[in-house]
Amino acid sequence: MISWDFALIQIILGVLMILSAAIAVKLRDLLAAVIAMAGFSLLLSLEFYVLQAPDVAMAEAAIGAGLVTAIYALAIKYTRRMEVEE
Amino acid sequence: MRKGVAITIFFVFLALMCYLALQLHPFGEPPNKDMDQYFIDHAQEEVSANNVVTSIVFDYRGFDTLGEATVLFTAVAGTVAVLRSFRFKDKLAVKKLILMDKDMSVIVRTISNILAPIILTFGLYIILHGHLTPGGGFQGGAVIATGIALLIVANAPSKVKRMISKDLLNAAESLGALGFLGMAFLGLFSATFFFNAIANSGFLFGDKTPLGINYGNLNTGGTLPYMNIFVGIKVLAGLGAIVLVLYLLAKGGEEE
Repeated sequence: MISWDFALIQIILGVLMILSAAIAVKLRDLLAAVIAMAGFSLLLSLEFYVLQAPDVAMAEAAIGAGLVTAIYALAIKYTRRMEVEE
Repeated sequence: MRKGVAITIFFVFLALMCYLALQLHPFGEPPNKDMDQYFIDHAQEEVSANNVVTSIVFDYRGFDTLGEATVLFTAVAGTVAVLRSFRFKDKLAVKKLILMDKDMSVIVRTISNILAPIILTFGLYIILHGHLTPGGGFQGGAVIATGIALLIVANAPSKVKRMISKDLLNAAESLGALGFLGMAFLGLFSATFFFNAIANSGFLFGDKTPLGINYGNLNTGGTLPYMNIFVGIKVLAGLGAIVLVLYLLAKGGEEE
């Protein structure tokens, strides 16, 4: 059987990831939502690291938390920051 | 009404995922272990690399990596092709863009000047030690691209345009892709496509690696370090080009 602390880390990380994803959906300020998604990617990379895949964790941290955030932030800069109701 | 349907679907999906998670194999015990055991037993001797993951990615399963690299190449080529000739038509938008053409604050620029060299060095370390420690060309290239993005975003678009050339990045990406393919074709001379021809040959990066647990010799790995370097150049140039092209849109209004 898997050990309890291992399972506990999985559960905490899973709950935090769902929480940050829900925050990203709920926020009206798109820039803040992008930062919430960066937090999601960071938690996901931590999860990969716990599951003994440091290669994937590294790629996820660099691309998910770093580059995708930068690209989204640049895209928001050229459009508008606040979400509008259709 | 629609919200209720969405929430119901969400919870059904969640229950299904939890059920499937319980049905998974125990952690670390895949159904077909024979091939894993072969890689673990023979990677140090055949590929002469301590990092078995990299030896699978670039040697045993090199063909898959070639497909992955092609996906990234296509994505970058498509993004650059769409964005390079894009111009804002609206007068108001152009005015707004010209206002945007300035450096970030002194705080951001100072921090990015301190952080960027450290990030770039760390990325280079990941690329060069890809055959010994976790990481490799993709991961290191992505880390370096993050550092480049930091440097790009901290400075004004007109200044960035003078400093980094988009054509240089595109050329570097093509060079990385060609070098990766060249190393793959090098295997064709001795056995098959993606055969590790340099491993254990005594050439640069061609030392034998000691079996079992060892300190890790940088001069091992055969074609893996070369492929790591080429893929690293390709990834950092490709991802850097996307950020650069997107950032230089702010310059687009001024040129007409």
